Amino acid sequence: MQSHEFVAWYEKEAEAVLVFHARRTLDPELALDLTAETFAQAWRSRGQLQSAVPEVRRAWLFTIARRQIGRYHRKGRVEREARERLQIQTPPAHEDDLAAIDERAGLPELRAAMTAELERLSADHRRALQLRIVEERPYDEIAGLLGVSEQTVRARVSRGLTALSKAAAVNPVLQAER
Amino acid sequence: MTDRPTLRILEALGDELERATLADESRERAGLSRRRFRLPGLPVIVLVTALSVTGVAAAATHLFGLAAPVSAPNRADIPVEARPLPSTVTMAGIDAGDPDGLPSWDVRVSRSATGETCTAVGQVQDGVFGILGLDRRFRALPLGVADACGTAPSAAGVQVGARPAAGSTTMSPRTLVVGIAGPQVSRVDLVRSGVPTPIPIGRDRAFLSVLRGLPDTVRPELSIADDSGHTRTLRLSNSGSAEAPDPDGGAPWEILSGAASTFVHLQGRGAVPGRPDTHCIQAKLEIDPATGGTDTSLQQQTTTPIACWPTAGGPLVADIRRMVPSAAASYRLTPARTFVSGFADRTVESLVLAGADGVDRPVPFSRRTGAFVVVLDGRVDPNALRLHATLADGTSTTVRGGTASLIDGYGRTIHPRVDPPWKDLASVRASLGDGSGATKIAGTDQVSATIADPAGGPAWAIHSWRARSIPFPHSGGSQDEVCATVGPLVGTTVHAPAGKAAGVGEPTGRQIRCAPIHPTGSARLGFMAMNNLLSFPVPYVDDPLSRTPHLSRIVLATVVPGAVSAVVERHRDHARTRALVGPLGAMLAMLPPSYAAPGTEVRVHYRLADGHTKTSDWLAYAPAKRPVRARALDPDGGADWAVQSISNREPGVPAFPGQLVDGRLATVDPSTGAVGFSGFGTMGSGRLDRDHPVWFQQQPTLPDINPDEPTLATIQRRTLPGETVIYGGVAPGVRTVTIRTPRDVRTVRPSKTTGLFVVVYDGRFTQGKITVIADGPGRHGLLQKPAVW
Repeated sequence: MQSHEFVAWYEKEAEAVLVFHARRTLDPELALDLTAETFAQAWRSRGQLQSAVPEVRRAWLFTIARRQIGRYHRKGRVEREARERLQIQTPPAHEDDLAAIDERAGLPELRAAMTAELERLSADHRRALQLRIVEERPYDEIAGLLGVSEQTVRARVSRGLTALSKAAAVNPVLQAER
Repeated sequence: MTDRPTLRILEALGDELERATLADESRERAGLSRRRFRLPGLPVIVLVTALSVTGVAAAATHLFGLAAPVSAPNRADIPVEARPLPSTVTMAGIDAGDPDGLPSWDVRVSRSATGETCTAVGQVQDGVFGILGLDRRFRALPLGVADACGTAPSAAGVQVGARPAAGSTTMSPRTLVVGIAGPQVSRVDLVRSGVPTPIPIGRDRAFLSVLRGLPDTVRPELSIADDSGHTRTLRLSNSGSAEAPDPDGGAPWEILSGAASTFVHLQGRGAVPGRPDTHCIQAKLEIDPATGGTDTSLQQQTTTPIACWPTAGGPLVADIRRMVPSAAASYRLTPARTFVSGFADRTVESLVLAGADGVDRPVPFSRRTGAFVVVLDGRVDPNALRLHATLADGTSTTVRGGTASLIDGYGRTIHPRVDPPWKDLASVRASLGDGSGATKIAGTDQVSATIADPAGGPAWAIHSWRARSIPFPHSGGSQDEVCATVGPLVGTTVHAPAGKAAGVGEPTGRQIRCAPIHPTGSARLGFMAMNNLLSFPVPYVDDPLSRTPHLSRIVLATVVPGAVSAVVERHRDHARTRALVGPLGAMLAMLPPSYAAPGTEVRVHYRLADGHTKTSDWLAYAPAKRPVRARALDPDGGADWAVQSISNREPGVPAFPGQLVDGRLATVDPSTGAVGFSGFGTMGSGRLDRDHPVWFQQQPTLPDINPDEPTLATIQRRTLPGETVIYGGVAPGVRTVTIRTPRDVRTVRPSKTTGLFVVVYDGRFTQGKITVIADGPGRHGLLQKPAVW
């Protein structure tokens, strides 16, 4: 795949990948970073897709995207390796860019639906998710605020997310394919 | 979704991807397979110099203990124009006092065989010219070494630079303003706060002034007077940009303002580029000269969002907002600040900001552009601020919060956003964790048996453990991982390798990587684990601070959960070397330097617990040896820097520059001796013709340095961490290349056969521009780029 083919492919899939990241992180700026790294990695290993049909290419692209999110949640930071090797600088996002991503990804509705689902959780799990996901506080700070160990906070966040994940299966907004 | 217009930010990212992929293709066309292209990673740079000044001045008459002189380079390794002739050496006899009463400073002046005037700056103790190291030991500086060489200034010209000398908690950093005055220069003054102080001109018309602090902080200003009575001002390390001070007194904020079209990222494909009736403003944090850099995660400088208004937006337009630290935004790991920025038109006489700390403060603004930026502590409530403008007609106007007419670069109104609550930087940093990304499972640590070190040091072992990743619903929940680190075993602990041959560092070997175990728990390799089959071998040198380091071993280590044995196969002769495999599937192969022979490729055969076998791809990591086209001394006294052609067929296309290790280019980690061969890639050669006779790139090195353990070079020679390498090429006919940086001006002669050149500076530039001027009969051209990479 040559540069012009790759850029054409990017133009076709970029928004879908961005929305994919935004709906899974609820953070438009973070989603942009993840999107940039996803395509940088895709370029690096494009040789594997030389003769792949479009459906396979797409599945492969979203496998990379999913892996990026997994790594982000494990490491607490976005991978930069592929961008650094290609010497790509992610363009800084203007505030209205972020607002546009919010709108495209349906994040306001998603946040509202998340909030509704949160209400169904136990108070402990809800508080932990609120502090971690909504207020983006670090685990040690949450542990201090709640008077429990960091491990307990991690467990509550994890269980809360699992419960939300199950709820998503039956909530049309959360389930919406983006 | 596809019917809607593309998001502008995605278009900007598309442009960037297009640029980068085209560049990558051009590298490949230069004869490389993509698999072989590998840039060494940029390790962390951290604080080495501390700006605190002890205030305790040693007595000037105190003699510091002598250490062995700084080693002299091989003369043949120095470019002829930078090689001082011993017979021409004189001391300027300046005797410039040190601000802390340490041995005084002087300049050694000499001439090169090609007629350049060279200067070396140092201290004089007991009649010996040398440098007092951070270990408070005095080392003589050998003849034959100069800091800089250049064409001797004629008439009222000057050759001047600001050289840094690193500091520590017990010895403060210095800026050494050193120069040669032309024959018609009558007087040189250092100007501080508008007050000129004469700098004496010594023998050979050399002058020197020694100041506390680093050049990027001090930003020396010189006033040069000539015989005709004319006076001009030279500002060193000055970006020429408008700046706003930071409330903590650290690096200032550069004020970027102008028409929307001047903001590059507003020029995305298909977008309306820069409306002419719109002006914009943005603040960008400059790099802190005390650190030379920050986290490696900071690949771009912190900026505020761009705010724009119609140019006819009224006498005063302003944006008042709070920015808080974030792990992923363009306002990255930066303390919370409250910004007041905007434009005042020509009817505005004065601006006053009220509501910050209860004090009314005048706000300076550009009389030319009307732009202003005030940076306040992030605890200041943006909603409490009032900006008052007094107009020429005696009336006044006030802005509170952001103005309603705030628009973006395309003329669209930006909806007011709620300011985020103040956030502590430390909490954001803490949330990033230690980078390992997984929580170690207690009681799972295991140290393997050992394997001999070909470099002759203690045998190496694998320390591996299980870890649990942070659970996430979309990735199928928590996964167990195997993590491992390798290094010399001391007692029962795996240590990091140290710089010197077979040395041993801290008992914290580097974590090489973690690999998830397949979710089913079987030994079958998962997708991620397959990636771990592709771990590049890492060569090490015997002494990374030596001018002539040699390869001493090659380490190949990775994690393949489920592996029970592994064998490394060499492509050339199918020689097989058994690797060590730890209890959790981590593998370690220790190979002799012969495995770095040009063109060597290896692959690894793994046998898994379930009886299956897996074999990695062939890994190529040892580039061919090619002729050196241009070289330069390493300011730290390490291996010479050089540029080679990317291939013998294209002699004018430089590979990425590197230090010479056994005839090949490499980046050398000064703390561990790990080497990354750098001869695989290229940035191309730029466009070179009569109209564009010069092309250059800069490549800063960011060594992984522990602030508590400065390198030997920093201790002995007071050089700064890292280096800045400027390299490039010129069109045929160009004889000289003059490189003007925020630090100094240097002239070099490019390679006669290929036109390539390379120059290396100590430390890293934090602001300003690099200008390279090519000159020759019928050839003259100039190229300028930002000095901050």
